[in-house]
Amino acid sequence: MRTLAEIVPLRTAACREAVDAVAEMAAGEDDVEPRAAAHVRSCLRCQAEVAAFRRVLKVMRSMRHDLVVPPASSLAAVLKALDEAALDGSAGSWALWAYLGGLTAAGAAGMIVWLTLRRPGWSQAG
Amino acid sequence: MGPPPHAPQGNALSDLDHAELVNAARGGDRAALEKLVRATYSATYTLAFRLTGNEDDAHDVVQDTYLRAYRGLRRFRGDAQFTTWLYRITANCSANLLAKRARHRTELLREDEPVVDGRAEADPELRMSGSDDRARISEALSQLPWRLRQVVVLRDIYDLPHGAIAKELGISEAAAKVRLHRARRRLRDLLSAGGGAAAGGEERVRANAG
Repeated sequence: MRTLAEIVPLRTAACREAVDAVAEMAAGEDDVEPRAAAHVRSCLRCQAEVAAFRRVLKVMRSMRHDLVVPPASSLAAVLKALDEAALDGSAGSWALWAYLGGLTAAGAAGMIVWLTLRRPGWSQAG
Repeated sequence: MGPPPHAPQGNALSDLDHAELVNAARGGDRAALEKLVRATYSATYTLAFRLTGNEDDAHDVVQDTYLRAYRGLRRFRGDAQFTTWLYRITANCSANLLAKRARHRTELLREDEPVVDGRAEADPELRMSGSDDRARISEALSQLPWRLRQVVVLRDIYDLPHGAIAKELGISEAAAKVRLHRARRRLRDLLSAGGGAAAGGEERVRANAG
């Protein structure tokens, strides 16, 4: 039986220049450099490589659904970190409200003192 | 070593389920947040593992990812799938971790990748067959420099657009495309040279949930 090398011509300089276009065409990307694309379309060797890389990409796309099992402790640690972040967030917002409340109270007290000091009776008494 | 354990497969949720859980979690529903994390954990961990190449880094990346996602949950507009949003955060956290580490340990990107011989016996398609495909590709990916591995994993496995990859990795779209070209060339070389599963690396992919 004849091998692929006997059937398909060996790679030329143009084939080497089109190596990225081969991958892009296999991936179905639409911004392939026109000159390289034209070579690939006219070259049996490159077309064979497009078919080969398309198969590699098909396997790679399917690998998205292959899951690695995380260590048992990993999920628990992340949930704990999220709990701590939630607590920090609650504490942070409570502190913010307390701070704003304090500012408001201090402002109101200052306003009362200022209005009281402005009353004519106070200035005459002084 | 016995057969690897299978990942839990009964926690897959639809996009609608994700959206409901996201809304509930935004409102402070702790149980919804935990359910959301449990439903997406294996997939997020898998991406982190593929990007970083080891368990310790993958764990750090995943923890950082979920903390950032939790803090940014209100900003998630729902115009993308929740999992895609998580993948982008994972890519960004992974890039930050690996870049930080690389500042201490220089890893060179070779500019002049050799183009492999075009002999038939070097053809990746002819070398790949049956159930070995995933193992060979996984092993070849693990041998790529991390900068190249990131782009090819995000583009060719997770199908993220060039623009999204560039943004999350903190590089220009042109640079992302250049890296992708290099990554694919190197991947092809590795597969052609039989540097995949034949190199004897431990296969980490343990279950197909698809």
